[in-house]
Amino acid sequence: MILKLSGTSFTYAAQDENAAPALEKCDLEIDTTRVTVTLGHNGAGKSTLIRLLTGQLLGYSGEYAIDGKVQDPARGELLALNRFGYAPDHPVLEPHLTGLEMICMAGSFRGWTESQTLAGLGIYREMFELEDWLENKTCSAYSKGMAKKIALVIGLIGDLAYSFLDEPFDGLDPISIHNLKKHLRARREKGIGTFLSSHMLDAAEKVVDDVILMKSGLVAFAGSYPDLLAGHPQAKGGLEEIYFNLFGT
Amino acid sequence: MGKRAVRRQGTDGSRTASWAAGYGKTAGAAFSAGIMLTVVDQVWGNRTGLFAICLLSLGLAAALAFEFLDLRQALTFPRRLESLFVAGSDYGRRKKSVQAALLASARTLSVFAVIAGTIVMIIPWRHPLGIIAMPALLCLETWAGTGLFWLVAEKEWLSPSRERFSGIGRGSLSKPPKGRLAGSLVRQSQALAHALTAALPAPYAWLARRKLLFLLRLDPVSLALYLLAIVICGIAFLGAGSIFMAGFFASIGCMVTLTLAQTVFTECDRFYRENAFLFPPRRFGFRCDLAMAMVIAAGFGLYFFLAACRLLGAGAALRSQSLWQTWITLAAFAGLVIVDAYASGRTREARTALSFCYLGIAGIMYMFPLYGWIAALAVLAGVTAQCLRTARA
Repeated sequence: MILKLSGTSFTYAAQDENAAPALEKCDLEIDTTRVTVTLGHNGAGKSTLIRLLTGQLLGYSGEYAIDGKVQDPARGELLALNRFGYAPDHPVLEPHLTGLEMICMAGSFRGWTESQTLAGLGIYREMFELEDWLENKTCSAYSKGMAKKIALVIGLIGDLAYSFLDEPFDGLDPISIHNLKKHLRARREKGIGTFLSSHMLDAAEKVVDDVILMKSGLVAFAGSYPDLLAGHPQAKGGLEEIYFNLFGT
Repeated sequence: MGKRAVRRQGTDGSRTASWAAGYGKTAGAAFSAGIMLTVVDQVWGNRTGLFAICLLSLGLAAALAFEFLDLRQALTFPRRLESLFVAGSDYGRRKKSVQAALLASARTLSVFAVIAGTIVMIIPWRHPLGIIAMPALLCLETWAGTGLFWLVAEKEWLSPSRERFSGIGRGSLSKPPKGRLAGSLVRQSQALAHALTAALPAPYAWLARRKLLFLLRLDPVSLALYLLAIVICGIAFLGAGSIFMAGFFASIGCMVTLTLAQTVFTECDRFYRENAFLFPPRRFGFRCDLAMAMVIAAGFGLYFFLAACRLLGAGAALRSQSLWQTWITLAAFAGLVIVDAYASGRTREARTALSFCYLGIAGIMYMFPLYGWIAALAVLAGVTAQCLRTARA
C-alpha cells in the first residue's frame, strides 16, 4: 500500500488568518511495507502528520491518497477501512476498564473474537512484561509506562496492514524498548511496516528504512535512510550527527 | 471600555448566567418533586399534605447530611502539613470554604423547599397561612441543619485524619474502592457485564459492555440504591390499585432513568467522541445507545403491562388505550432522548429540561384519548425517521 500526500497543508485554527500551518505543502510517499521514522523538534508537525495520515484531521488542503484512491477528509473511517493501527503519543485509555479489557475491546472493533485477541496478546505479554495488573487493575491506576504499553499493544495487535506509533519509546523501560525494536524489525520481515515518530534517535536508527525530517511544518527531507547517509558522508555518528548538523544551533 | 473591564464584565455575566441556570434547575426539580409528592400524598397520605411534607423534610435532612459528609474530608485532612506548600490550603481557609459551601447549599435547598412545599400544600390547604407555614418550617429545618454543621466546622469538632484527601469522586455517594475490594469489584463487574452482553454481535457487545462496566465501577452503591428505589416505588405504585398510578410511575420512572443514564454516561460519550480512532464509527454507538434506551423503556413497559393485567385482566389490558399509548410513549421517549443527545448540540441541562417537557406533554395527552393516540404515534414516527437517518449517517 502507498500513502501519498500531495501539497497537503493543515492549520489547527483555520479560521484565524494569522495562524501558522502545522503542516505546510507536504509531498510524501509512504510505503506501508517499510518502517518510516519521522524526526524533528517539538512542534515540527510530526504528530499532526500522523493524525492526518490516520484520518483524524478534517479540513486539510491538498490531497491524501491511499493506493491512488483519494481520501475524503470528511469520512474519518480511515483506520477501520484500511486495517491501520494507531498508538498516540499520550496513551488514551478508558479509566474504568482494565488493560486487558481495553485490548479485547480494540480487538473486537477490528473484527477479532476474544480468543483470537488473547492468542494474539501472548507475544506482547512477553515483550512488555505484562503482569497481573493487566487483568486486575483499571487503567486509572496505571503508571505512565503501563499505560504506554497498553496503548502500544492496541496500536499493534490484530490483523493490521500498518501501524502508526507516535513516540513509541517514550516512557518504556530499556527491556521493553529493546523488545519493541526487535518486534518492529520482525514485522517488517513479514511485510508489515510501521510509521513512527521519535526523539530517541539511537532507538529509531535501529529500525529505520525511510526517514522524514520535519521542521516548522515543512518536510526537510523524505527518502530512504541510506540516501540520507549518502547525502551526509561527513557524518560518522549516524542519525544523531546528521540531525544535529541539520537542526542543531 | 478597556480590556480588563470587558473581561470582568464577561466573567460577571457568565457567573450570573451559571447562577441563574443553577437556581433554574433547582426550581424545575422542585416543581417536578412537588407534583409527584402531591400525587403520592393523595394516594397514600391522608390528603392533608402532611405526608408529603414529612417526605420532603426527610429528603432535605438527607441532602444536608450527604452534603456535609461530602465536605467533611476538607476538615479532617491533616491540618498543617500541606499549608506550608500550597497557598490557600491552610485549615482556616478550608474551614471558610466548607462554611461557604454549606451556606450555598442551604440557599439552594431553601429554594427547593419553598417551591416543592408550596406546591404540595396548594391543593389540600386552601388557607394562605397553611401554604406559607409549611414551606417556612422546611426552610427553618434547612437553616437549622446548616447551622449545626457550620458550628461543627467553626468549633473544629472533627479530628484530623491521616487519610489522603481526594477530590476525585466527590459527586458519587461511595468512594472508589481500593485494594482487595477493588480487585473483587473488577472481577465481579466483568463477569456480570460479560454475561449481560455476551449474546450481542461485534462491535455492539463491547460498546454496551464498556458502558455497563462504567456504571458498575463508577459508583456501585448509588446504582444499587437507585435500583432498589425503583423496585420499591414500582411495588408501592402497583399497590395503589390504580391503572393511572401505575402509568404515572412507568412514565416518570422511564424518563428519569433515561435522563439519569444519559447524565451518568456523559464522560463515557465524551471519551468516544474525543478518541474516535479507538472506536467504530459513531453510527454504531448511536445504534447501541438506542437499543440500550429501548431496553430501559421496555422494562417500564413490561411493568405497566403486568400492572394492567393485574388490575384489568390480560384481555382488557391489551384492548385498553392506556397500555398502547404508554408503550408508544415510552418508545418515543427513548428515541427522543437518544436522538437529542446525538443530533443536537444542546447542553445536558437543556436536554434534562426538554425530557421533562416531553413527559409533561405526554401526561397531558393522556387526558385526550384519540388525540393522545395520534400525537404519540406522530412523535414515534418522527423519532423513528430521525433515528433511521442518524443510524445510517
